Amino acid sequence: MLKRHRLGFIGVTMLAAWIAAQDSTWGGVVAPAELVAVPRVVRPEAAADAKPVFRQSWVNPARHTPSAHGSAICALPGGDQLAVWYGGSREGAADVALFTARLRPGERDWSPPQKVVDRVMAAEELERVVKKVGNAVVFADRNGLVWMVYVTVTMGGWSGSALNVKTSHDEGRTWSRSRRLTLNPFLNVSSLVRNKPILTTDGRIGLPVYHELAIKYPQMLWLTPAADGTVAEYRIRNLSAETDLIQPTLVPLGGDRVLMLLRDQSDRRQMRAAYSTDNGWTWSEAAAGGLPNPDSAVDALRLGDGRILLVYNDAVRGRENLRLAISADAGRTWQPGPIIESARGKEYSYPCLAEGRDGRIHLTYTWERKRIRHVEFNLAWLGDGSPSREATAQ
Amino acid sequence: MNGGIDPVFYGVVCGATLWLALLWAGTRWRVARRHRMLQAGCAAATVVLLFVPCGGMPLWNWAFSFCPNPSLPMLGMVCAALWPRLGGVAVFKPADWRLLIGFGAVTGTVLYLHPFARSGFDLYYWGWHHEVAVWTMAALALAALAFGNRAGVLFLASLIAYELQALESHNGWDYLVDPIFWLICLSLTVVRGARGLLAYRAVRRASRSPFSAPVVRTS
Repeated sequence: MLKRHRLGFIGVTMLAAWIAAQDSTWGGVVAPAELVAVPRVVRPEAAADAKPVFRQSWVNPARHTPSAHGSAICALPGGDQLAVWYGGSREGAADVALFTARLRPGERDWSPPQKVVDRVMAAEELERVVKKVGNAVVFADRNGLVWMVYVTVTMGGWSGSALNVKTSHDEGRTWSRSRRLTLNPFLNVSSLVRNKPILTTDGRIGLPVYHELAIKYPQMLWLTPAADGTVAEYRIRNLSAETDLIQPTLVPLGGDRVLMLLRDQSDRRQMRAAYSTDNGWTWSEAAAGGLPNPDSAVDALRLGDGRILLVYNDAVRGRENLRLAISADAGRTWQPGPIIESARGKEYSYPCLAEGRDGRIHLTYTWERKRIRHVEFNLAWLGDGSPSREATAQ
Repeated sequence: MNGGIDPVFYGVVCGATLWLALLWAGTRWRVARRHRMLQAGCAAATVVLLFVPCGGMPLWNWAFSFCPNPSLPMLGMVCAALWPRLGGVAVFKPADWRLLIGFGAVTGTVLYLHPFARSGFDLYYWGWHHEVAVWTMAALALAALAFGNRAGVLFLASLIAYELQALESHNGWDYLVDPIFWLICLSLTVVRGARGLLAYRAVRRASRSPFSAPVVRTS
């Protein structure tokens, strides 16, 4: 049959290829436009806030869930802070769910936790088996749409993760159905997320993600939002030829430059830094930045005065302390700052930083795997911090 | 699922494959080939099986939970393998099978194992390039069809499915190869290679002279 219709099949192939090549609905794979400048709508009273401010609070109530971990925080366009974390009987348990809570400007107490998704809801929305849910990140895009990218696992451990997207048109009060992203050729497993993205002026979102199955390396997920608040298209790129580097965190440095800091799972146990001079499209090799890293997540933020604020575990092993550091030279050298938490045998980990519209810095982190701690401070407190000083609540 | 035609595609593919598999099982059990009642019964059983709730979701959702992007060559290969047992007509010739199996083994090995080289080359990333994916599939189809190889029809089907975004993935390579297809092709290649090697050794052994070569003495 084929011999008789060979010319017909060849003609159909050429026609299909020509039609497909003319299809303009597919986006190209091109470098992003310049980064969106971080909006700094600082209130006059906050700008004049020369008095050091340091406050601590709890994001989730005591005994809300036996275990809580993996928090992320973002400043919403309306001025609220929105935090997300996962909680349940233990990490990876079937009863783990993602929760959000919000902090209104000027208030000290977080709203009661709101369950966003658990494995049953995710399975129903994604129409497939979901064994557990995990890390999530929340952020607002340049149009005010709030995004949540979160991890689900269908088979295996965390290295069997896949990423899913939810969006919210009302600043995180209600969420769309989950959408699965296909990011890996091998059964779409092993894509994980931890830290916040960079935004570009062409509307794209550059989200740092990472791969964990067999070999571990950082990747960059480029999301293009559609006008209706869904994902129009997405692309993923590997970033570094080096392995054992995960959980990249990105810091826009101004212009086309971006700094990436990485968690080190190798025996070197040193936080790594890489640079991009084309808005996060290509990256330098990751070099040791002089600070230790006990195989734990870090986060960083560019302050209004251009310095970079880092939060990290200041040890080669264990996560028994959480410390701030400041860099005035784009992450090349770091000046150790105040210790936020320190207790022998305890765990303080997975920090996440956000800057409020009033210029105050918000930090959330896992507190002894039981609760999510929130710390709020201003630049006056930070400027006053000496390296050996421990933070004291106001 | 992400909307569009992918849920319909998945349902049709799952249903067709299962129906063929049931028919094949029927013929294996000596039920009359081409029996209308058997075909209708299997079709009904397929529909029922696909929608049997198991763990809170239909059975076909389970299949796609673990293999979310079945490639078109794999689906074609399954159907081509099942059809001769039903209709008695071989869809693929040996040359078609050789090309399909070789393609699956080579492309899968390169796509899934090249990240281990950590060379900085990211093959999967090139699958996001629409033009690269389209012209690669078209070139594969044209080359196969030009040589009269029926596997070309499956590459053409991949191109059409890609343009229609029939799968959840938007990466062109996912339409050409998937891990299950790769493992099947790799296994068949290894088995065939081992058989070929054994046959070659047997031929060499048989061709040897039963007597040792005479020793030539030189003074």
